[in-house]
Amino acid sequence: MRKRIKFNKHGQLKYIGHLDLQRLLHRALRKAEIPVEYSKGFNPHPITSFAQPLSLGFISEAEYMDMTLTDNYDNQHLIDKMNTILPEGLRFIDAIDLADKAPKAMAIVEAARYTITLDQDIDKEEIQAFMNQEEILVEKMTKKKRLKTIDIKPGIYELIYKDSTTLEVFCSAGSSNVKPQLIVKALYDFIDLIFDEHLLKFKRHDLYLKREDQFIPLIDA
Amino acid sequence: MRIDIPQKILLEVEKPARYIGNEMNMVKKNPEDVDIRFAYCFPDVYEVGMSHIGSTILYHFLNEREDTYCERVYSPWHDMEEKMRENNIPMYALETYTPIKEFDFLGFTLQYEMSYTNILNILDLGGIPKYSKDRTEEDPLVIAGGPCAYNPEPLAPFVDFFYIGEGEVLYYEILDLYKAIRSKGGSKEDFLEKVLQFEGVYVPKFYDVQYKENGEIESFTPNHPDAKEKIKKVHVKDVDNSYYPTNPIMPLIQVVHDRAVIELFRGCIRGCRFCQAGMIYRPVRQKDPKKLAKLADDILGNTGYEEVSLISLSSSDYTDLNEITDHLFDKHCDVNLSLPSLRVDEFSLDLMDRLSKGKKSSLTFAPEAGTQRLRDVINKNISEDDILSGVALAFKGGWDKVKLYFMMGLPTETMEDISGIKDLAYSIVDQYFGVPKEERARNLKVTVSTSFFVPKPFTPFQWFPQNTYDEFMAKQALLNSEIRNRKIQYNCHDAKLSALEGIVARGDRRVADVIYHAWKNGSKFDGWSDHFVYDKWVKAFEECNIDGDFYHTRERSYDEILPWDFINIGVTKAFLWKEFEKAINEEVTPNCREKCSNCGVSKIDKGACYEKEN
Repeated sequence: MRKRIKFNKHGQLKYIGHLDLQRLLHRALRKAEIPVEYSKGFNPHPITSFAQPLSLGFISEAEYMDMTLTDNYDNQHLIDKMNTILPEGLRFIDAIDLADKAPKAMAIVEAARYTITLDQDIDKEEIQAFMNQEEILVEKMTKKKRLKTIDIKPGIYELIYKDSTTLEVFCSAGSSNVKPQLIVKALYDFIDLIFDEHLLKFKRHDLYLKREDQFIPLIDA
Repeated sequence: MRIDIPQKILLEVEKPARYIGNEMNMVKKNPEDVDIRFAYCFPDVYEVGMSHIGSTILYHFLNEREDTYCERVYSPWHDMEEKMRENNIPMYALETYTPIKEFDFLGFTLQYEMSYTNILNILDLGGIPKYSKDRTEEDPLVIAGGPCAYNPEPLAPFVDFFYIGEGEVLYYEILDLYKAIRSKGGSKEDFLEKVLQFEGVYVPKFYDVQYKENGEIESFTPNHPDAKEKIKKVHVKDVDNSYYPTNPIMPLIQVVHDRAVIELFRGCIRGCRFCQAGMIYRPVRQKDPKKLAKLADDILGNTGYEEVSLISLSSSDYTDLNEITDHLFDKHCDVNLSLPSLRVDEFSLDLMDRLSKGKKSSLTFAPEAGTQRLRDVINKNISEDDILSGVALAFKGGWDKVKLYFMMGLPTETMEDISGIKDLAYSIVDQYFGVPKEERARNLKVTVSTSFFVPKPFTPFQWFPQNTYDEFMAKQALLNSEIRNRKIQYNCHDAKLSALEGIVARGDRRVADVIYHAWKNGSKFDGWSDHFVYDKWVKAFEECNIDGDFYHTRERSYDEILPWDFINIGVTKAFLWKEFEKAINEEVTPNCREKCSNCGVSKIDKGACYEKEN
């Protein structure tokens, strides 16, 4: 039986990376005696798959993990049990059953929404001017460690001014992921501010799939 | 006060999770609700400290008390320390981010001598005076325990009191006493005077040392009426019913040993003459296999670890190994089991096969010396036959990687003994080629590693001069030139660290100033070879006008008062001396189960030597 779990990541837990998070969740599942299917081989581990790794330093309201159980298990019971075990900063929020053939979360993510808290004040007009550019070119490191210039504008669906230090961005995720850090970097360059990624605060709100031109959260799949 | 560490700092240091706490099974208490705040300090980086089982035991043991909150402190790595200093962030404890200065106790565990500069660094980062005499009522009491506390003298001026022995025995009584004195408005001084009533507690300031002109100790005498002449170590008598945590903290990041740990027994029956643990942890105390099985069930259930390790100084000597491993294989078949320090024979090869589920990891032997003569000198109970028949069995069973550990600079060692290391490695290669091609695995790899022998207090070799740096390097060069076989890889390292370790290990109070100066010169993480800077120590010795050779290359006489002689570990000095003489005469001593050798420990407790009588 396949399940998709929605969980959050807050507080100090933002300082652990994706592999550490995976190990932690695997151990918590084991401690909770959730009947997860294990990989075969020398070091069996629960077979789980994550929608999209979260950058170190980000907090999130909605992370997604798919897993297969070998037995029936009530969703609410699973959530409650895990929440007695997980450390402060990690909570299971929701769980749904998936059809056996349903594609993995990783394969269907198309968009993400973030709130960004800036370290400097900006104007609404500057956002508009920034978004009015024909192209937004940024340099990105390729997997072969080469710098490549790409246009991220098509990947920015919305850039909303909330207040002088708060932005909300809705952008492409999954296979054509646009990192929110890149967007802010481009914005800062555009209005000539000094960019220091570590001074900004990022929160992921949700991850979305696309169905009939509608973006819907992964948990509503 | 709660320290707030800016995100910018944590995102710029390597592995920020070292500094955030908040792990699964971390103990949470409201500091307002407790009477005693205890900061347990491991003077090394988080991943090392979190792998230490003694720390795990003590942390949870102290937190069993409702009136006490024990929190953890590890040495910040270089990058974090730099940022803490730049931003005036004081050293804090991981549970509540409280500055360590606000605690009642700072308890340091002394696992190896080369962590001592880290202790001073932690105090400094905490804004706490390094020397006890400079600390006030506002500062915490600095205490220290662990294996290196058996020679407390090099840290004597920095530590208010040492705890000699196993933590489970006395800590509750000490905390009760502290609480009673504090509630009546007593001072730290009042407490230190009263704590003298306990066995196992050493308060350095209540003792005076006089030196002879030649530098040896003239006398070591109490200067307080309640200070005991001899400090007797304390040890757990009933290991089956002593405290063991079943809900250990699970680190958020990978640590050195990231697994559940079960302790099979304390002590060791073997009596290797270089081994300090083998002497200070006597007598052997085995735990009941049924209790261990229950512990393993509980710990695995409470943690979700995918691996459990059965530890002790020599796992093969656990008499019920079968019973406990069968239980684990049956009941936790999906959990990996690891058993360090197994002897290689038919039984254990079979066990290793089951442990690794067919995946052949490398076999490890620690012959320690290259010739039988020298193995007899050190009383290492392993013969060439044992090793060769062990590897032959293993090669037939499909293993093809062998690791061998040796020491250089052992008493009576000659260059023939060094060549013997090569000979043994070559014999192992021959064994491999003696196995028919179709029966053996394809690619033999023998790894030879040598370290330099450091004489330790409370061992039969405590009187022995350590080799000089040049002697060490000459031996290493010889072996390096002799090993000429593509199947054998030789790993060696620099002897400077070992020489220094030798000085500190057998140091007295005068060495404390050297440690202080070395720290002033920027020494820290000295145990990490890539961070160890020998010159900082050389300068420290010069600044203090202390000759390191006095401590490590000098032979001591039996009559000399050794800096640690006032500590009574149960094993007598006469026994250690007898063992030293037997070593020189190449005589071996049987293990404690074969025959009691009257080491003296039976006077304080029953051990393996009379297990049979019970």
